[in-house]
Amino acid sequence: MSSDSHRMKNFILRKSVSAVVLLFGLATLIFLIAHAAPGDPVSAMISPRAPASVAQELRHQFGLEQPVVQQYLRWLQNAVTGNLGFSFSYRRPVTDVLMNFFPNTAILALTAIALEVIFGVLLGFLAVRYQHSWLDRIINSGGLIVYTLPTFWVGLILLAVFSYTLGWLPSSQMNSGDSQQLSFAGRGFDLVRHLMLPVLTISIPGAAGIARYFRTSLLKVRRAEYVMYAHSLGIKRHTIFLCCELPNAIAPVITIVGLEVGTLLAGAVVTETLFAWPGIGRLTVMAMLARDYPLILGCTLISGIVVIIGNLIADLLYMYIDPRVRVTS
Amino acid sequence: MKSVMIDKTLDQPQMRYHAGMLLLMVLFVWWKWRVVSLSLISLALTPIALVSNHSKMSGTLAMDLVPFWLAALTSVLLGVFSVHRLIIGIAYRHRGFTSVISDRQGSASQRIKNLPSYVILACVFIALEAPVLAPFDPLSQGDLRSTRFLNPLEKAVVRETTTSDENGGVQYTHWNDRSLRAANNVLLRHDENYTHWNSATVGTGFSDIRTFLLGTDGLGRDILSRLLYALRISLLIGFAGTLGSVLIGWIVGFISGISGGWVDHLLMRVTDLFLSIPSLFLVIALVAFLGNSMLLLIIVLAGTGWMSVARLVRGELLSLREREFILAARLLGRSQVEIIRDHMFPNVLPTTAVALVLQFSSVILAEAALSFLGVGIQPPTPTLGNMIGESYQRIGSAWWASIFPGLILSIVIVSFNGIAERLQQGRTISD
Repeated sequence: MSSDSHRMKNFILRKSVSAVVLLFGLATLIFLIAHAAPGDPVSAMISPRAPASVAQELRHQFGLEQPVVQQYLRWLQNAVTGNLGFSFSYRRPVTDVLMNFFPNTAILALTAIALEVIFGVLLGFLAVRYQHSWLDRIINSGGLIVYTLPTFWVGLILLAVFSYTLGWLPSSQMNSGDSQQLSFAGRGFDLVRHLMLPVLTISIPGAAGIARYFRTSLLKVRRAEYVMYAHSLGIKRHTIFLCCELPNAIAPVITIVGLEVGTLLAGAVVTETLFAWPGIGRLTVMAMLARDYPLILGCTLISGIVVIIGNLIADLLYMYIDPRVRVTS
Repeated sequence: MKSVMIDKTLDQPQMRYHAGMLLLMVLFVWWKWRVVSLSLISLALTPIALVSNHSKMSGTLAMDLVPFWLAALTSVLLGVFSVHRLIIGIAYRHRGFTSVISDRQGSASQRIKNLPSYVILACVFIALEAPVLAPFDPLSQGDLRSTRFLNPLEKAVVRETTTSDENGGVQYTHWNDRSLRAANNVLLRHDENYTHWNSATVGTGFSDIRTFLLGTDGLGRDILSRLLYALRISLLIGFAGTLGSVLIGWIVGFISGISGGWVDHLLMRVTDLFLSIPSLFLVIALVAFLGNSMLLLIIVLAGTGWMSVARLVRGELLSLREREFILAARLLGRSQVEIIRDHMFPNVLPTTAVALVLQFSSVILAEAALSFLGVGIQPPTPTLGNMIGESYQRIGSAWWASIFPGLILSIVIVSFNGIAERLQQGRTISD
């Protein structure tokens, strides 16, 4: 037992260390991207008619005259302490701007993941339960098509149908204009109304993918010997399902979801722009259009951090669910 | 009747092109009459559409659109069927791929899976022929007052002006006096003095009614023509970006798989690093710093898509290295280069074929997303994402300007994924 927990701690330690190494690598990559740009960053910040001494002064302030290695170490030091630079377009530190917008993306992403997993697993289970019927065929082939639909096509259709034609749901932003006057519950309900379309845009293709994946996984688990053994012992079918089949089949789904955090964020960029949702994705696009380089780099850094942490959580969750991982590693 | 076709698609070189196509079509019919009769039968369904909504649907067969339909149907159908027969021939010669594509011996459910490859072939041929097929110039705006946001199948009066651009082409002015539209229809077809009828059109040249098959966008440009050119650009960027990323992924994967040791470890960590930033963020950051011309876009897309291919190639190589035939080859004294060339290389190809097709769809999607957000290909060059991005806010009123590009984009991406799925199934069946 103690060796088991020792192995578990070892596993956690190894995964955390590799995550930290990846984070440092990420910071290095961001630094390299920033310095890959041709041209002088200072000249973009000041008027071309300003005297050369102003440019020189700015370069000295930003430390651009120092050797690259020293700049890199300064950048690492700043990044670790949370100082990511100053945003040109928002006139505030980048960290402040990010912290303002990040919770909105978090709301969107977490709700989307939750809905996706719930409906995906449900649909996958239905496909297996009524296998070879028309429902199974629809979920399998229809799921393939829906899964590969581009995010902004789904968003466009949802926008056209639910927002413009039917007028049921609002088409942009997080709150209505008069949300300050509503009660707390009213504001919550308003948020949910605004949340529905963006979340559906991300969840519908995701749920289709998870449904197909869970279906394959559950079918594979059902053929395993331990399930046959449990049946032969006379255990009831729903007990077998809950304790043997479901955890084994869910495990790969959770890994996939953890690994898909990156794709989710990337899809969220387009969704956020389409629905004018004030999140990190839309912030990146606005920063890009305004050529606000520190903010672009900050957004990229934070998205990488989220993905690395997501992968780490997925690994740890997998370890928690599947005891074999704890023992064999 | 004085009105004459001044359609771009009917000047001399294109007449020869169409004549050649018709000849090929005749030969094709003589050779494969069964295929042609099947497609003609399916074409017989169009009277149903005509009967159900005569006034609207007859607009699709307006006189000025007949050359377009002629060119589209002959060239695209011909191209699709001939390439399809070619692929079937190749598949039968290499036995392993018989399950990848079905000819008429397969069952209906098997043959419906040919559909994605048909669609992609059709898209490729359409893209190749866009300059010939497009009824309008994709960049010409005409008189904005009258050409803005026309509905699909609406008509406009086209008047040839005397100005010519630097290539010797002719500039067309489109205008449509909405209050006199019905009168225009009648008058233009029968009134030879039309050019004097409205004082605004006094001048040289003929005039004719042209139909915008899919409507116009906010700047009066024909959606159909823009779609054809946009498909071209998207497919071009898709091809180039995929080739680049697969090339880089192969090189990295090969070096990593063959060397092993610290080189493998380092390269895999670098791959993990690139994988940990969501692709769109990385691409936006790189485009922000490097610029967004088409070449740079291709380079950036190639540089952010190689990771999955690299991991795949490395995985295949690692499992291949332990196989008996490699050991046997080594014992027989073959050099490392020969082993790589003769044994490892061909065995890695099937997996990378699937990865290549999937990469294609993700590159096209990435480019569309970038252009949609405004950071990719800039207007007025049409690309699928561009067209959606310019008009999605008007989806309530002018739905055609964003729905049609989105539809074409979805069809292309779903078809590519369908092909990849088919290739994967084919591999597992024949394994």
